[in-house]
Amino acid sequence: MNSTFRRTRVRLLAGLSGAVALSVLAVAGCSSSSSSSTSAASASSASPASATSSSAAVPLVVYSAQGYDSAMTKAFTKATGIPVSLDDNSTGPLLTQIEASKNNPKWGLLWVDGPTAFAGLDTQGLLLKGYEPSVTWNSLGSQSVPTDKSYTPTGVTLEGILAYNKAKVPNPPSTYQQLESSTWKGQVGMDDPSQSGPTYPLIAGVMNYLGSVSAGEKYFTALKSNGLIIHPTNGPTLQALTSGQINLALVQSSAAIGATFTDKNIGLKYLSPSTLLPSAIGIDAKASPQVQAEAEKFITFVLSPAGQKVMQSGDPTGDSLYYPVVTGVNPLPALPSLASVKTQTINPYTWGPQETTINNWFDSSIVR
Amino acid sequence: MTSLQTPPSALANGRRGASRFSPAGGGPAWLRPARFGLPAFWLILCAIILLPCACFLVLCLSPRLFDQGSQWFTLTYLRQSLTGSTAVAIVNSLWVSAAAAVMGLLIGFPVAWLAARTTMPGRRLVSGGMWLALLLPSWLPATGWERLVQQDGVMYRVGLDWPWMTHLIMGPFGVVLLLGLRCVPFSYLAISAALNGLGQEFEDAARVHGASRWQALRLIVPILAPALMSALAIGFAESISDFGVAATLAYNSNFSLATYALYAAIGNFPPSFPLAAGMSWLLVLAVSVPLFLQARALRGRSYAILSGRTRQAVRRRLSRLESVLAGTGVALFFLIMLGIPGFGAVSGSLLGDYGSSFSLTWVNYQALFQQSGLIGPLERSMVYGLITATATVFLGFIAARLLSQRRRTASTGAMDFLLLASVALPGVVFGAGYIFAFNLPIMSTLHIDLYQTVQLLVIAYVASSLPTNARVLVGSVSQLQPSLRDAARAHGAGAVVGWARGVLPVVSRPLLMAWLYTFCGVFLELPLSQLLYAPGSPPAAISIEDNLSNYHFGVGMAQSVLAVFIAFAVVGIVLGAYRLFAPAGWRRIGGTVRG
Amino acid sequence: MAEPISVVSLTKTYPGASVPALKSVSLDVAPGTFLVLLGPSGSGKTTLLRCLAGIERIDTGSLSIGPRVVADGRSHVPPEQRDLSMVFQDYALWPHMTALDNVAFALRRRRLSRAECRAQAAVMLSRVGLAEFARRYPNELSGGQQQRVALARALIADTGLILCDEPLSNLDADLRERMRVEISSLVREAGATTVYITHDQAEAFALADHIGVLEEGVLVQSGSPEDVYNHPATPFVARFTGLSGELPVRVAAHGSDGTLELSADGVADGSVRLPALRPAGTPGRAARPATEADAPGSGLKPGEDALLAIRPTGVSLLHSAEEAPHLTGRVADVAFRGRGYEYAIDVPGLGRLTGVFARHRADRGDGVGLRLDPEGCHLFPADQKPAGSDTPVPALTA
Repeated sequence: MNSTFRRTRVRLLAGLSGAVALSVLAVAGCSSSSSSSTSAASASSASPASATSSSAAVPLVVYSAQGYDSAMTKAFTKATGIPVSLDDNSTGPLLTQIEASKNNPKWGLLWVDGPTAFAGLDTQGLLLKGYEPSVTWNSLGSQSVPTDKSYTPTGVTLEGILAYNKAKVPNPPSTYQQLESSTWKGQVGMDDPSQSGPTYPLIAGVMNYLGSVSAGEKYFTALKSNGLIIHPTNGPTLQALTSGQINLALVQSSAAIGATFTDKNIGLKYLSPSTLLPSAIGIDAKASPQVQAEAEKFITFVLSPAGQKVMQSGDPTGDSLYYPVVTGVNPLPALPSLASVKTQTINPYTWGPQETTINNWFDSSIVR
Repeated sequence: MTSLQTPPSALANGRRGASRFSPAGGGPAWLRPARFGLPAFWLILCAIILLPCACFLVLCLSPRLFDQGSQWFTLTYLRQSLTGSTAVAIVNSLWVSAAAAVMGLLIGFPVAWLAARTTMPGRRLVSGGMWLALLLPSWLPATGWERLVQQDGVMYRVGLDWPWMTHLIMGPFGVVLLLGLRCVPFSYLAISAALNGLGQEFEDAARVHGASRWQALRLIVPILAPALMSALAIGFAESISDFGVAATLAYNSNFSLATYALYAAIGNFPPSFPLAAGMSWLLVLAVSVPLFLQARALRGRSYAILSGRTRQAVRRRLSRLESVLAGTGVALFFLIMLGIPGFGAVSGSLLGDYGSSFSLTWVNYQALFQQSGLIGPLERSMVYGLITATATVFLGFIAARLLSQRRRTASTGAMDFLLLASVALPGVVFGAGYIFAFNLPIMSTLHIDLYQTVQLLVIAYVASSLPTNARVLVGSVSQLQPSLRDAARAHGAGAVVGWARGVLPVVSRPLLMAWLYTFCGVFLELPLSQLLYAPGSPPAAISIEDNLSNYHFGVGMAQSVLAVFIAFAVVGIVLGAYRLFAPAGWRRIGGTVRG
Repeated sequence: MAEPISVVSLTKTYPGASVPALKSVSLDVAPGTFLVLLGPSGSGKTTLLRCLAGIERIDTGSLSIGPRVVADGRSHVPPEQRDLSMVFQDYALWPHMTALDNVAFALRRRRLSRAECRAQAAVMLSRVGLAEFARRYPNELSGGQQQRVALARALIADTGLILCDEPLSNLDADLRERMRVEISSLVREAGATTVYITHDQAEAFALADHIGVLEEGVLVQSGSPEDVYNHPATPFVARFTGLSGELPVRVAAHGSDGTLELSADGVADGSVRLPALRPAGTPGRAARPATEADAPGSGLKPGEDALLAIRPTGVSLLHSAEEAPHLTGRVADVAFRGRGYEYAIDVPGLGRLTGVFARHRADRGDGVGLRLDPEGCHLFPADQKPAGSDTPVPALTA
C-alpha cells in the first residue's frame, strides 16, 4: 500500500484512539467525581454507629434548592457514611423532574423552601407520611409542622420583608396597604411567582390576610396601577433596588438580609403580618424502605446541633439567614428579631391547590 | 429542499446519481455497511430525537400514558393552548419569528455578498465575526441591551435621554431586533456557501446580453433560492424556540412569547405538561410552514448550480466611496451584534454586587474565585462539551450528506422535517421529553437505566445540537465531489483513509467551526442541564444559574462572563492549533470553502 | 450589422500575478470576419475574449468595437453597453428559466414587449432545431441541446459582435463536429463579426477566416489558416499546428536556388542525407510571407545551428528499397485509420516521429526508411525555444 496512505492511517488511528481515550477518561472522570465524595466518605468512615448502614449503603438521592445543601450532604456523609447524590437545582426544575418522573421516581428526598410545593406533592400521594423526628420544636417550628406529617420543616424565612433604599426612603411603610399610595408610585418591585417559588406564599399570605382571593387580587391590581415592577427572582429584584430602578423591594427575608451585607444603603422592615415560609424536607413515598430510612437519618442530622451549625455556615449571605425551628439554636446575629413582628402561616393544603390558578392570574394580569 | 448545490461531477457528466453512502468495500453485498448505514443512522435519530419529542407530544393527547392526567385520549389541552394567554403568546412568537427570519436574511444576504464578491475592506474578518456571533448565548445580547436602555441604564447615565429608545427596545421591536440579529449568522452561512459555488458565468451571461449590473443580480437571486429559503427556515425555527430573549428582554417588556409560556406551564406547580405539549404541537406545526414554502419554491426542480468547470467568481472592485460605505455598514453591524452583548456582560460583572454604582470593581470576580466548587462544574462542562461536539459533528456530517443529496427521497424529506421540527422545540421541552421517554418503566425492564446519568445528559446535548449542526454543515458538504474520495480509493486507500484524504481536507474548516459552535452551546447550556443532570455532577450552567437566581447576582454574572471567556479561549486555542498543525493544503482549501 | 474590431497594444496583468496575461497584443479584425484565437491554456486567449466582452478590465492599450473605443487605460464601457453577445464554454444557461426564457432574455435590450420577445425566441429555437424543447429547463436538456440554446441566445439580438468561449470543448467528440458546422453556418448567416477561442487547432482551421495564435500572452502569428499552417512564424506555432517531430540540424552550405544544405549531426548513423531545403517561408512556395526578410529561416548562414520542424505531410514511409531514405528508424506503434496506417517511428538520435502516414502496413519493431518532403518541413534558427517547453499537439492528419 502507498506509504502516504499508511502514514495517514497511522495518524488517523492515533487521533481516533486519542479521542476514544479522552472520552473514556472523561466519562470515568465524571462518574468518579460524582462518586468521589461518596468513596472518600466510605473510606474514612469507621464509626460503629454507621456500621449497619455502610455495609450495604444505597446512595441517597437528594433534590435540593438550598444554598447550604452541598455543605450539608458532605457533612452528613462524613458523619454517617451514607453516600449522597446531590441534585442541587432551582426549585422549579426539581419539581418538574419529580412530576415528570412520577411513574418511575428516582429521588429520595426533596429539600426546598415553601410548604405549598410539599402540600401539592402530598395531595398527589408522592410523599411519605407520618414521620416526625424526635426534636423539640419552637413556636415557629410547631406552626410549620403539617398535620399528616408528610414533610418536616428545617428552618423558616419570611415573606413580607421590605428592603428599601435608606437614602431615598427615609420613612418606609409598615403596612401592605400603604404601598398602594401614590407616594410609592413606580418604586415598588417584587418577584414573579411563576419564576420564584417563595413568592407565591407572599401573594397567598396577602390574600389570607385580606380575607379572600378577590381582595388580594384587588390589592395587587392596585399595586400594579401604582407602577409595580416585576422581576423574575430575588436576585434581579434586589439588583433593581440597588441600581436605582426601584426603591422598595418585596423579597424573601434571607435574600434581603444578605443584600445588606454588600450594600449598606439597604434597610429592612417587616410588614405586618409577615408570612412564615418554612424550608422543609419531604421523603419520596415510592422510595425503597432502605432509602427512606436513610432519608430519615438525614432529617435527624439536619435538625441536630451539628447539622444546624452546617446550615448556618453553609450559605452565610443567603439561605443560612433563616430562623431555626428547634429549640436551643439561635439565628445568626444579622437577623432582625421577630419579637415585634406579627407572623402568620398559610395553610398549604388550602393555598397549595390554588397556586396554579393564582399564579396564572398574576402572570396574565399583573406581570403583563 | 435543503440541497444547495449538486456534486459537480453529477451535473457535468449528466449522471443523476445521488451521493449516498457508498460501500466500504469487501464482503457480500447484503452485508455491506451501506445497507446498515442509513437504517442505523435513522435508528440513532429516532432514539435520540424522535422518541423524546414524540413522548412529549403524545402527552398532550394521552396524559394518562405518563401518569400526567386521567384521560387516555383528549383534545382539551390542544384546545386550551389555542385560547387565552397561550394563544396570544403563540401568535406573538409566530409573527416575531417570521419577522426575525426575514430581517436575518435582509442583513445576511448583502453582508455575504459583500464579503464573497467584492473587495470590501475587512472582508476576511466577516466569517469569523459571524461565527463569533453564533457562539454567543442569546441572553447575553438581550441583557446588554437591557442595561443600555433600561431606566437608569447606561444610555441615560451618559446623557442620552431617549425614552423613545427605551420604549422601542423594551417591546416587540426590540425582540424582533434581537432575534433578527441572531438569525443573521445563519443566513450568512447558508448564503455564502451558496455564493461560493455560484460561478461568475450566470452574471457574465446576463451582462453580455444586455442586463445592467442590478438586473444581473436580480437574475441570480432565484438561483440562490434554495439557500435563501433554507436561511429563512432555520432562522424561523431558531427564533421560535429561543428562550434567552424570551426570558430576559421579552419578559421584562411584558411581551409574552411561546417559549416563555411553555416554560411557565412547566415551571408552575403542579406543572401542566399536557398544556405545554399542546403548545409544542403548535410550534412544530408552525415550522412546517417554511418547510412547505421551501419545497414549493423549488417545485421539484433541481437548482444545481455547480458545474465542474465553474469559474471562480471574480471580486468586484469597489470604488473608494463604496468601500467606505460597505466597510462602515458591516462594522456597525458587528459593533451592534458583538459589542452590546460584550458590554452587557462585562458591565454586569464588573460592577459591584447589584450594580449600585458604576465604579468598576473586581469584587465579584474575587468572590467567584473564592467560592469553592467553582472549578468542578467548569471542568465538567468542558468535558461534556468536548464529547458532545465530537459526536454531534460526526452525526451532523452524515445528516448533512444525506440532506444534500441531489435526489430528494421521502427519507430525506422526513429527516429534514424531523431536524427542523426539533429545532423549533425549546430546550425545556426536549429535557422533559427525555425524562418521559427514558424514565418509562419499560426502559428499566430493558435495562436502559439512563435517566439521571451523565450518559443521558450527553446524549440529550447531542440530540439538541444535532439539527442546527447538520443545517450549518449542509452548505459546505454539498460542495463535495464524490470523485475526490473515489479517486483516493481507486489508488489504494481504504474506506476511512480515502475519506480522510479525499473528503476531510475540503470540509475540515466548516467541521471545525461546527465543532466549536456545538462546544460553546453545550458549555453554556441551561434547560437540558437543569432537568437531566446527574445528581452530584452539576455542569457550569447550573452553578451560574444558582448564583444568578439567588442573591449573588454580581457573582453569577462574573461566573457567566468567565464561562463565556473560557469558551472563547477554547475556541481560540483550537483555531490556533488548527492553524499551526493542520496541513497547509487543508487550510488553503478550507479558506475558499467558507463554512 | 457587423462591427470591425481594433485591439491596440493591449496589456493586462491579473492582480497578484507576476507575469502579464496579455502582452501588448495588437490585432485588427475586419467586419464580418470569423476570427479564431488559438493557443494552449494560459496563452491569454480567454483573457483577450473577456476583455473584449468587458468582463475584464484592461491595463494599458485600447480596444475599439466599430468606431467606439470601449476600453483604454482610463475608461471602460460595461458589457451591457457594448452590444455584443457571447456563447460560453459551460453554456451559462440560467437554470431557473426555460429554454425559451433564456433566449428571450437576450432580446430585452431591444425594448420589445415580452410577448414579442418570446415569439422571436421561439422562432430562433426552431432555427437551431429545438422548437419542441422550448418549455424545457436546462437540466432537462443534453449538453448539445444546451449549447444550441446558448447559441440561439447569442444570435437572437442580432448584435454586431459575437464572442465564443470554447463552446465545443464540453461536448462529446461526435457532437463536436456537427455543432461546429452549425455554429459556423448560423453565425455566418447572421453576418456578425465573430471572435472564437479554442485550443483545438483542427477546429480553428476548420472554422476560421482569420487565425491569431497566442503564446503566453503574446500574439505570435496572425493570418489566414493556410498562411499559419504553411508558413508558421515560430517553432511554437509550428508545434501547435501539428508536427510529426523535430530535428536539430546544421546548415552545411548555401545550395543553388536559394536552398540550404543541411547536415544532421545529432543522428548517430552518418548515413543520413537530408534534402536541401528552402528556409521556412521562402517565396516560390505555395503560401506567401510578405517579404523574404520575414521568413524566419532566411538569415541562416553555413555553420549555424537550425531546427527542422517536420509536419506529418513532410515525412513518408518508404515502401520499397528503391529510394534512398533520408532517415531510418524502427516502428514503435502502428494505428489503422481505415484509409491507411499511421505510424510512430523511433529514430535513433532524433526521438520519435508521430503521425507518419502510409498505405502499406509495417509491424511494430520493423526497421523502416523515411523520406522527407521539403514542402512539409520548416526550418527555424536554433535559438528559438526548444521543444518540450510547450505541450506538443497531436499531429494534423494529412
